[in-house]
Parts: sequence; C-alpha cells; structure tokens
Amino acid sequence: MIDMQIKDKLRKDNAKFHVSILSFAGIELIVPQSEILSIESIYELETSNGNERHIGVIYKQGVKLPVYCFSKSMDLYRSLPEDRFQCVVLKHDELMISLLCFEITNAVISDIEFQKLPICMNNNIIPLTHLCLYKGTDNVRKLGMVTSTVCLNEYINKLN
Amino acid sequence: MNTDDNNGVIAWLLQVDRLVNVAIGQFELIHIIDKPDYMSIPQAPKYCNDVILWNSNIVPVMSLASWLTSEIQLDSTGVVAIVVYEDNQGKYKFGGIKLSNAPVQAKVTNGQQCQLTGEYDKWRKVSLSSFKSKAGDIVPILDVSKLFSQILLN
Repeated sequence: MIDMQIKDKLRKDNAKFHVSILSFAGIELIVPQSEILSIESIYELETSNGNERHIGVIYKQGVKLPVYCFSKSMDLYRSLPEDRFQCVVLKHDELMISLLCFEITNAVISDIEFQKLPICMNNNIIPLTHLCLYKGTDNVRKLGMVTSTVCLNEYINKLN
Repeated sequence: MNTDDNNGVIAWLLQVDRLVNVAIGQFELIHIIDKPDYMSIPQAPKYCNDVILWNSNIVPVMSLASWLTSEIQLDSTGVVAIVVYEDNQGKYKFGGIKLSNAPVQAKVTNGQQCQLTGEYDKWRKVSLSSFKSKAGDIVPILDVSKLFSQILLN
C-alpha cells in the first residue's frame, strides 16, 4: 500500500520521477516534489528559546508552523546550526511541516528502483519509507533514502 | 555446511570482533569487499545502521562487534563479507557482515561440537550450533537467515 502511494506520488509522467533532494548534515533525503509547498528564506524564521523540540516558527498561509532541524542521525537540534540556509515547507493534504536544510535541489529521475527497508534494521523508528537506487545526473548509480511528509511528521511525533 | 568428506565439513571462519570468530557454510559466503562506500541509515540499530550497494542490490551490513558490545565499533579493516540467505518467503537475499580480518576456511568435524555457554550464550539467538576451534575457542555457527531477520530487534 505504502509502496503504491510513494510511487504514485513520485511518478509524474512515464517512468520519470520528480523529486526534491533535501540535504543537511551530510545526508540527503528524497521526497516527492509534489510535497514541496514552498522554500522560505531562513530570515523568515523566528527562533524559539531552545526549550521546544522545534528550532523556531514561520508563518505560512496564516498558520504558525514549527520549524525542525535534524542532525546527521536525525535527532532534533534545539539551536540553529550554521550550515542551514533554506527552510522547506512540506505539505500532504492538510498536514504541513517545515525543516531547515543546507540545500534543496529538484531532480527528474528516469531510472529509480525502490526497495523496502531491510527487515533486520527496520525498528519502526527509522524516518524513511524506502531506500532506492537511482542514476544521478552524472549517470552513476547511487543509493538514496526516501521519505515523505507523513513519515517525517510521524517520526517527529515519536521523538521526545 | 557442505560435506567435504567423512572427516568433516568445510566452513568459513569470520572474525567479527578482536576475539570472536563465527562460522558460516562454505557456499554462504559469496564475495569479499574491501572498504565499501557505506550509506548510514538514521535511527537504525547500532549493529546494523549501514547499507552498501553491491551488484545493484542494496545490502544491509551487520556489525556483530557492535551487537556484542551494544556500542558502535570503529571499522578497523573495512572488510565486508557478502553472504547469501533465504528469507522466510523463500527468496534469496544478500547481507553484509563487517570483519576484523580476512575470512579463512576450516574443516569442522562432529567431534568438535560444543555448547554455547557463558559469554557465548547471546549467540544462541542467531546460531545453528557451535564447535570448538583447534585453539580451543568456541565458534558459533551462524544461522544467516535468522541474523538478517527481525530477531535481533526484539
């Protein structure tokens, strides 16, 4: 079921997948491009006092939206690291979440193969829907980590 | 394990920790990789938080040294054994095991069989049996299918 959902969301035309790659702390997360609502300047961010799980808030479509910031291991930072320059707003149905990234790039991938997370590591905490193999712009096959707005939101809610 | 002759079977000995060797069947080890490129999976268990790309397959890599100590162990040699196993749906899958040294072959006889006791008790979860090496060390014989199942998550 989830397989179909993610593939449907990524598929825009015949065998081409429109994705956005969120880069931060040396990791890259692949999300369906259709889930990117907007990319905001970091100057829009109102930082919080460090006691919250989120690093600050932005206002989007009249909604005060918490902004989260992940480390390499995808734990939540509580203060703003120096290497985050873009704030991406992800949207699925009515659900919106916002993340700070180093960079957000769009790509159209024509050769991508999804695999479920290996069962030996799938502890139901990992904030990914799939792993994937894809051909990058340099035509070299790469490993990728696929996630979604819903998956990231569930993950954030699970964190203390 | 493959029966070589009446005097025993051939196994691969994998050194997974400074002090621990485990054994797998002769035909379960299919490749050795030196210093592969890992992709770390965030929030995965410490003993299995890397995957590698091997022959167009995404292969999870186990660090049994990390499993034993519950700590992430530094990769001293960068050698990974690629093993093949059958999952619970009868499909062949591949897994990686981090090694502290290059694997060696050994002949194992019935007379070497022993129990997993003491500090080796933990290995019961993922072992078919065990034997005593010529040096007198206990060597668990891995059940590779179990190792790459969900059993270590519980």
